[in-house]
Amino acid sequence: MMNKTEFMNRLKRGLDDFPREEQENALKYYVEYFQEAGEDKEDEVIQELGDPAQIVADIRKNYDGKLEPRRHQSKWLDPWVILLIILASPFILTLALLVFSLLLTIWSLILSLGIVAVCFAFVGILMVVCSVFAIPTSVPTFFFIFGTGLCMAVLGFFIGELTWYISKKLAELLGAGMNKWLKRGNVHA
Amino acid sequence: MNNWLSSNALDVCVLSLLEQEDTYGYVVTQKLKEKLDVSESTLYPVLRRLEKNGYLGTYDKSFQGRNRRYYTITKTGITELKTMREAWGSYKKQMDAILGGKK
Repeated sequence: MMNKTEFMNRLKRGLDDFPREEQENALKYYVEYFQEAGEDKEDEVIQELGDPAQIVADIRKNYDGKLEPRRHQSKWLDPWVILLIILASPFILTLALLVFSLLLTIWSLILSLGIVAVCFAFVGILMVVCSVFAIPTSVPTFFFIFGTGLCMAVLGFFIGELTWYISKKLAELLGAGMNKWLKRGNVHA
Repeated sequence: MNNWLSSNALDVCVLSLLEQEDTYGYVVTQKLKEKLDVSESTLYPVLRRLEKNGYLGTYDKSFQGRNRRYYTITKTGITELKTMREAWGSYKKQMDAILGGKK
């Protein structure tokens, strides 16, 4: 069974799109009602008053004024929230910079890996091609350069594949994270 | 012309109660509970509507450190109450005639 605070909260939220004065008027009525009944009669009163949703519905039915969605406004333009944001801004900025440098580091790492892959592949292919020129001079040398070149090329391609896979996964993660963060913001609005 | 059905039974009860004396929400509810079977009814929407229509006025009085919002019937409210009483009277007569109840 809910308590008085929960009851009043539900009333308040149900009337969030009412003009502030109307909302306060209604809440005041019930606060006074609870007070009049006595602190020890809280549960009885809640029982008697019934479902706060029903009360909200009745209030809305009897209200003939204009109603505008107010949620978004009241949550983010609250002076306390603004104060909190101002006070926290140095920390928020530092945190943002931290996250940014982290992302930058990861990005450069991936980039370097990619460059390494390309170099390996390029050099490897070059070696394979040029090894042919060693045939007249020394066949073992040819095999050596050919083999090494082949290995390097394969390694390069492998590293390239890995880099591609990692960056794709990170992009997905980032995308999902941003979606979740944006959706959360929308719910509050 | 009968317009009882277009009015709200609770409205006229509340106005009738407040005609006798000013009082605050909690007392209105308790008194109505005594007389009618309205234990589930919540009166705030009714009181608020009557106030908005000009039939009731409100004022605050402090009591033992807490506030009591008193409702008082206005002149308009008294007139409306009279009209509603007449409507109820004629409605009752008509229903009694149809139902064959006591006159």
